[in-house]
Amino acid sequence: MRVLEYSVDVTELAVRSKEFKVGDMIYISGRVAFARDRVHKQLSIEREILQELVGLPIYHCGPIAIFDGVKYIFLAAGPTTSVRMDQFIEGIISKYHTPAIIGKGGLGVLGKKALSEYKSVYCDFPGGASAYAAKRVERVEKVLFKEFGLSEALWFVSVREFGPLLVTHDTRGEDFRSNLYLSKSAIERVLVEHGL
Amino acid sequence: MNKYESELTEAITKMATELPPDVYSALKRASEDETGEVANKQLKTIVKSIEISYKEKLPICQDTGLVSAYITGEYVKDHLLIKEGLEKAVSKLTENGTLRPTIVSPIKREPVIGNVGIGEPEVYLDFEGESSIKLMMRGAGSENYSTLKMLLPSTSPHEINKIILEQTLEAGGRICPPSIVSVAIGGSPASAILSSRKALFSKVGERSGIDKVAEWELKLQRALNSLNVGPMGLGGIHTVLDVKIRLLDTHIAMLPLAITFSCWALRRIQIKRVGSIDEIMW
Repeated sequence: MRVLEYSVDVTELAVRSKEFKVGDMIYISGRVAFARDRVHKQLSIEREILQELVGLPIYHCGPIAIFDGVKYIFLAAGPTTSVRMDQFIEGIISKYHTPAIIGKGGLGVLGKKALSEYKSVYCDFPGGASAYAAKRVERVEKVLFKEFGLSEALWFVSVREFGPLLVTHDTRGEDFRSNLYLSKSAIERVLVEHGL
Repeated sequence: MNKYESELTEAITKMATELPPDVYSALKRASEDETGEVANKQLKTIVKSIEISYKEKLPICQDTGLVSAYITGEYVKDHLLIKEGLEKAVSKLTENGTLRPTIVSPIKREPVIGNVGIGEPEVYLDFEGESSIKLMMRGAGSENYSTLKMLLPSTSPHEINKIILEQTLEAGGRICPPSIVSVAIGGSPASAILSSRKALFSKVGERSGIDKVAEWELKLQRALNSLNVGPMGLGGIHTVLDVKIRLLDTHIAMLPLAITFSCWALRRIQIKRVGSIDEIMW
């Protein structure tokens, strides 16, 4: 398989993402929003648009954040399971023109449909690679919805060469995981083969 | 500060920032021989991240999860002191960033300060067995796919295997594979779940003491690894690092099946009394 690696500035992501194909590896630099369950739910019911979120990639992450007296620092910032946010993806991408969703495990049927419709990409960050991710955070710029708790807040973060991000859903609607696993109908054969 | 608070603070810090040697070696081996190109890159990044955490004393995963303690043998008589020490340790470690503030109330989803709330951290007592305080951290990615099924007593082992394979396929990359699949068959709904979780304390590669069960574990591991779920569900030969099976005697009308998944970041540690001194060990 051909694996292409790209270094991309966040401001160019919406345009550049059309070149990406599933299986490509990208590293992004610039401003990224970190958010998870509660922020997704909240944004889907809020009428007003949060201007600063427009056009930013969203990373599904509830970091470990500590305040050093002046600023927040992330100690661990691996991805969380994206499929929990599946039902809110369309509402968010359509309002915020989100060029990329980053997380782990991929999205569900609704989320994937929204990605294809609005030409966004989905990328997997290696699950649990928390220290690795935290090292690529340059600066925590701002936090909103602190009342949800720091793990559930909306963070605006400046990252440098953030990745490896594996494109698992591209703007053509190709899905890396589609038909990747053995199908359920093959389980019977697998069991017999292994003497089970 | 009671003595358990300082011992537990040290033990939980080590548990949150270092992977047990048996888990680390299994993962490292997997990262060396994984044939899937994409999966291989994922595993190599994960191993690098573990090494950064170890060197810089950073949490292995931001989901430091639910902390649980299993108190056995002579430690049981100190259970109130241990519980108090555990709560203080968890609260303090949440403040300094070793643990993430993760606990919320169930309906309003309001943050519970310091991760100490109703039923959290979990404490279990067992009067029998060697004296130890065992600790585990369980993240939500894998726990959300852990399951209990109340099967008909006539269910065959073949059908049980099928359920385990189906559940692993269903979980895909969401449980952060390569995972450790721990199964308990029999007992009651409560004891089956607890037994499948406690089996995760046995080392990766450590087989059941019952020959037939040990053989079953190995066969199931090979079958699961042929599903091509692979590391992070991106295809490959390492869907699981290990399989544990526990059999419990049960009711004539019941057959509980508990499946507990652990992500690759299986975080566990124990305190054991050696002579009159408490020692932290893997």
